[in-house]
Amino acid sequence: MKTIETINLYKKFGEKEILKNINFSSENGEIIAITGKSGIGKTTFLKCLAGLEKIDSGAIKTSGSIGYIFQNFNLFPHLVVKQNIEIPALNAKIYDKRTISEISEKLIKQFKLECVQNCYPANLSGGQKQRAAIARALILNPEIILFDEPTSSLDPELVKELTEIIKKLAKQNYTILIVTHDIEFAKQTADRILVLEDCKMLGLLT
Amino acid sequence: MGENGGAPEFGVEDLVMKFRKVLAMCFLMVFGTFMFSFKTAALKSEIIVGLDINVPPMGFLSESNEIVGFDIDLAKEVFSDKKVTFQPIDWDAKELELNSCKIDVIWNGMSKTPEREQNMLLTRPYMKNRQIVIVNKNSAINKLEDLQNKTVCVQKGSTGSDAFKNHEISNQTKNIIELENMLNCLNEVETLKSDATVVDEIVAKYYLNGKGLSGSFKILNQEISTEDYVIAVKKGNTELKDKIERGLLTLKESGKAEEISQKWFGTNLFFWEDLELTSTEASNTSKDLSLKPIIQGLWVTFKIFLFTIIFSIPLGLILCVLQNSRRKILKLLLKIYINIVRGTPLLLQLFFVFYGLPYVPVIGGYLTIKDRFLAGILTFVFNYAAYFIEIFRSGFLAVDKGQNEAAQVLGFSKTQALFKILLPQVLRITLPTICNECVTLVKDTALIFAIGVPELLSNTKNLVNSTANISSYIITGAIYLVICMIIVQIFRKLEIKFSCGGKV
Repeated sequence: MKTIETINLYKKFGEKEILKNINFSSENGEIIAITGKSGIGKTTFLKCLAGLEKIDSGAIKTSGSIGYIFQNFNLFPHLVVKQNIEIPALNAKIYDKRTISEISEKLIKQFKLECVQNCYPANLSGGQKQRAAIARALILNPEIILFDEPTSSLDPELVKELTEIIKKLAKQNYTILIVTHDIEFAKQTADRILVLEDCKMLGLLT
Repeated sequence: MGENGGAPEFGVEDLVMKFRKVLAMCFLMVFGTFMFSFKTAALKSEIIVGLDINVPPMGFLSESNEIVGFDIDLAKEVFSDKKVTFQPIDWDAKELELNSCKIDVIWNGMSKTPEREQNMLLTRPYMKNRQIVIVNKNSAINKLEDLQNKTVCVQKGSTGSDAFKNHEISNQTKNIIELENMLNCLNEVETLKSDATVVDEIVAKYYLNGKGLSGSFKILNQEISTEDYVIAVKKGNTELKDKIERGLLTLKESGKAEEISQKWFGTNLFFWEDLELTSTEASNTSKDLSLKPIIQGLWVTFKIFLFTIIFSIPLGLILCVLQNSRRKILKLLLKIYINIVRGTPLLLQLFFVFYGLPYVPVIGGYLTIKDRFLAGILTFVFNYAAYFIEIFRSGFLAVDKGQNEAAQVLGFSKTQALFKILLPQVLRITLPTICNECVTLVKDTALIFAIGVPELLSNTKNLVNSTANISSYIITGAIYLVICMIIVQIFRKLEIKFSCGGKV
């Protein structure tokens, strides 16, 4: 089943073309890595998918909601980890407070955040911040998770851990899209690697 | 909020230590001022005549910006052998000016009062004057009894003010308002803010006739009091007093005095008793220092501060959010408002709101604010709100753009993002700047006296002038200092509380 599909996606900033007629699709439980030179438009592509950037023409179809893990995570600095994880669900009012609390506790356990759940983001390590950001994205139960340069602030050891986390998520039927310039990580993690070049998406053998 | 362990605790001892240092500095400054003034007095080679330059025809600024007047001409004749400088002074502080040797003589149509006789050395009278009641020409007030339940304004520290307060009718008025100068008093009566004013006859008549304003006012036949005009020197300076008296006698005999009087009044008002005056050496009883005016003033200052903060911060925040809206007209109006408020002195704004708004064409009548305190608070709120708009704007700019994006992908509505994500961060970022504004406001509150609301500083000034004891200034200085330190400490605690594990 296709989870994301773009049809002739076209995006420009002013006169500069960034993405030209991109046709892309992903399957359920698939891990796709997108690489390319910096400034080529990888992040813009993710932002278009997430609705943070308006596209100039074309269409994006998604089967469910999208979770987005920002390069610098964008945790809310005035809320502790647990509040950070719960606040999207509390806003959306999808469950009652007790259920939300139970779910967040499960996520905290799953991502090994027990000891920092009452800490502010300023006091977290890079890895902890990333896991908190993933937990926060998961509480809204998305079908697709987008990662923007997830390895940029991680030690090599933590990169391995991240690979495992992502693979686990894929097993749980999440579709994963990773923008990265770390080819090694992409090879380790992704089922399919795409290269963004000259505003086009090219396939790359794995 | 458990993660702020490293924050330093500030105890009472530290407060006292800081307080001591600053007090010591205050003393040093006051002492230094005294030393300096004694030095200048010893070296003086000229006569400095102090006067309130808002008192035509006795002494005032001419259109060519020179100090002229009846008293000026007299003084120039008397001191024809010396260099004379005319120094404009704050009339309230005249005793202080004289006692600290900043000036040598007060020559300003000053009437003789027992209080002044006690504080200064006075010459024999050279003129007679009456204190009269002036009302609006349309007023129903025709005699003193009609002043019952009416608002009467007086010039602060003037003889008219003292005479009226001692007159039995003053107990039956609604209230008595004290203003900085006579022009303000007449303005109040003209705009019906006050029902009547008590002023010096000579001054008022010269002013009204000269400016062709007699038609706007009515003068009651009954006077509040009569008085003698005298000249004052510092206590003990009999040498100077004798010189002035001898000089005036010479002027009378030569006919020069009459000539000057004709020039200014068109008649001879100069009056010199040849009687030998029995010099009453007043007992030097220094008055007890009463803290009541300071406490009353402190309460007013506190109220101004509280009301301004309570209303201006939310107003600034709301207007700041509105400024981000897409409505161009709203944006433009806010921009104009901010520029006007930030680009003009707060003092001017106070004057404008209280005295100027009634003169706005067409709608002026609806904009008249009769309550001085209310007019002051409104000005303060709108003034500070303009600054807060810009402070909060800088706060919004300082919040990472990613925060908004994160809120968006996590399904926050715009309102949710504003209230749950942006505002808490904006407030945290702007706390130090808000603290700064609060401290500034504490001191700005003193400006409200310009529209006749007595507060901490003005009450202290009066106390110093009436007791000739400068220690009230130090007490009040310490009060301001302590208030500001308390505010700083409160904000420090807030900063620590909302540091969220970041740097404080």
